[in-house]
Amino acid sequence: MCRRSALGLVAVTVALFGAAGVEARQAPSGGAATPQASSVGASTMTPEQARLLEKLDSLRPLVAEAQVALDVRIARDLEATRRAAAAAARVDTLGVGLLTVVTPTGQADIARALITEVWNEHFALIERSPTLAESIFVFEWSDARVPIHVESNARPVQFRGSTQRPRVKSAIRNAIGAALAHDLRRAGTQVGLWVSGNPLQEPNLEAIYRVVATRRSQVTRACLAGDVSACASALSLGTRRQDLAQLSEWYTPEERRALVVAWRPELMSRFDRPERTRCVEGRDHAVCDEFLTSFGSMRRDWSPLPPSVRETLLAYAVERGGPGAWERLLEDPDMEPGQALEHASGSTLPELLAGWRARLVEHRPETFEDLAPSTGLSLVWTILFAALAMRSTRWRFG
Amino acid sequence: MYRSMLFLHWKQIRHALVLMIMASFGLPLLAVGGLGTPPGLESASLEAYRFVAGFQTWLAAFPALAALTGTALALSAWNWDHQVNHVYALSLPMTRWEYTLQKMLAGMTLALLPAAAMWVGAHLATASISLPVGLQAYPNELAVRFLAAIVVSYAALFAMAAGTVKTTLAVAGVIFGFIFFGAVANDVLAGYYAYFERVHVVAAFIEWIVEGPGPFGVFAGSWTLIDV
Repeated sequence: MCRRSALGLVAVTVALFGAAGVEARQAPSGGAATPQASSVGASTMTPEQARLLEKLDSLRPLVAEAQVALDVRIARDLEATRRAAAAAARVDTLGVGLLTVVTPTGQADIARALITEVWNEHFALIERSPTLAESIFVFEWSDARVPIHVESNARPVQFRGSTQRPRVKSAIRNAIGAALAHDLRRAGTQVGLWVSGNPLQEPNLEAIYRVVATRRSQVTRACLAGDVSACASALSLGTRRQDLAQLSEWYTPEERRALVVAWRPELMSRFDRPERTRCVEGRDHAVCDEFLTSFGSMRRDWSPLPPSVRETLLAYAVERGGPGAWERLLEDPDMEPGQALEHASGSTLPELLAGWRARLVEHRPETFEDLAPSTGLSLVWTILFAALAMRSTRWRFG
Repeated sequence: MYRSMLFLHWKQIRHALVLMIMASFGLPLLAVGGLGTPPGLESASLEAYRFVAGFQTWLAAFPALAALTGTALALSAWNWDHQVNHVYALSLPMTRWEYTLQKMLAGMTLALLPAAAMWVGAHLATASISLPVGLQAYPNELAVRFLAAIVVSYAALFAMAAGTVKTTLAVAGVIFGFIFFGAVANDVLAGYYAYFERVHVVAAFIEWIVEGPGPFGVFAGSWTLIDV
C-alpha cells in the first residue's frame, strides 16, 4: 500500500513538474515541446533555464518506469479483487460445535467431517468459549489455494493437498486449543499465567516423561517415584516464590550448585561472573544460594519443570472435570492455579496429581519396545530377498 | 563349500570390513565421549538431560553405518562372480540356488563381526560413564538392532546384485527413477485427479518401506544407547 502510494506520488509529482518544464520550454523555443527541440533553442535560454531543462529531461525515464510499475500494480489489484470476488461465491460457512469454519465449497464435506471428528474427540465437553465465539477458522486442504478474506479473528488451518490426514487432524486440534488458550489469557487468570502456552494441544506424553525424568531436581524424582506433594512442588502449584526456602525444597545443595554451573558465564553480566566463580570453584553453597536467589527475584525462573509439563496437568484436569470444566476454569481469574485446577476437575489436588502422574508413568518411553517385531519383520524380508536372489535368473533382461 | 565361500568373501572385503568393525566398535565410545562428570561437579547424576541430549547428535550415525556395512557386504559378495561372468558357479557340482544360499549365509556370517564389535563397544561405552538416576543403557538392544539392519540391507542389495550387472542397474534405476520422477508425475497428476492430491505416491512408498511393514522398518526404531 505504501509502495503504491509512493509510486503514485512520484508519478504525479514528476508529471506536474514535467508539464511545468514543457511550459517553461515552450516560451523560449517558440512551441517546441520535445527536449531535443528545446535543446535547439538553448542558445536563447539563460544557463539556469538550460540546466533546469536538462534536469527535467533526466527525470523522464523515471516517470516512464513509475508509470509501468503503477500499471502493473493496478492490474494486480484488479486481478486480486476479481479472484476474491470469485472466491466469495465459492466459499461455504460451516458451524461445528462452537466453531465457525469458512472453507472453499469443494472442501466443505471433508472440512465438516474432519473438524467434527476432532471436536467430538477432544472438545465436545466445552460448552462456552468467548474466543471460539469470535474466531473464524479458515480451512483449506489443497494445493490450489483459494484466497479467502476474513475481516478479523481469522484462524487459518491450511495444508498442502498431500498432507497426511492424521497431521491435518492434529493441526486442527492445535488450532482449536490455541484459541481456547486465549480464553485463559484474556480473562487474566492466574492459571493462564501459570501455563502460558497452549495446554489443549496434542500432548506428547513420552516427551513430557523424558523431560520430567531428566530434570536435576529432587522433587521431580520424588514425583515420579509416587510422591504427589513433590509433584505439586515440582509443578510450582504451591507458590511462585523464588526464595531460598523454595529453592531448598526443589533442589539439594549440590543441585543448586549444578544450576549455577550450567549457567554459562558468557550468558551473564561481567559483574556476576566473580560470584559464579566463587560458587563453582570455591564450592561455597551459601554463595551459590545467594547467587540463585538474587537472580531468581529479578530475572530467572528456577522452577524444576517448564510450562509444557504444567500444560499436560491442566489438560488432564479439564478432561477429568468433564462437562463445564473449561467454564469453571475461567470462572474466577484470581484463583491460584492449584485451586482453579481443583475447581475445574472436581477433584482434590492430590487426587488430580496422582491421576496425572499415573498417566505420565504409563507413557514412559519404551525405547526398544519395537525391537522384537521389527527384527522379526527384518528376518521375514531377509528370507524373501534370499528367495528372490536364488531365483535371480528370472530377473535377467539380456 | 560354505567355508570356501566364507573365505572368498572375506578375501574380497577384508580391508573394508576391518574398517567397519573398527567404526562399529568406536562409534558408541565416541557417542558417549564427553558425557562424563562435567567440570565443577562431583557427580554426573545431575546431568541426566545432558546425557540424553548429548547422545541424540550421534543417532543418525548408527543406522548409516549399518546400511553402509550391509551394502558393502552385498556388493562384495557378487563382485567376483560379475568379473568372471558367473562361470565359476556353473562349474560347481551344485545348483544355483544352493550356491546363492551358501554365498548369502557366508555374508551374513561376516555381518556378525561388526555387530559383535558394536556390542562390545556399547558395553565398554556404558561402563566408562556413570549413568544418572533415571537413565538406562541399552547396549544389547542396540547391537541386535544394528545386526538386523545390516542383515536386511545386505539381503536387499544381495538379491539385487544376484543377477547380472545390467539387471542390478536396471532394478536400481527403476527404484531411483520412481523416487525422483514419481514425485514430479504425482504433482502433475494431482492437477487432474483428486486422489493424487491427497496421496503422494512416492512419500507413501517411502513411508511403507521404513515405517509400515516394509523391509527397512528396523531402521526407523530407536537407536539410542542411553535413555530413560
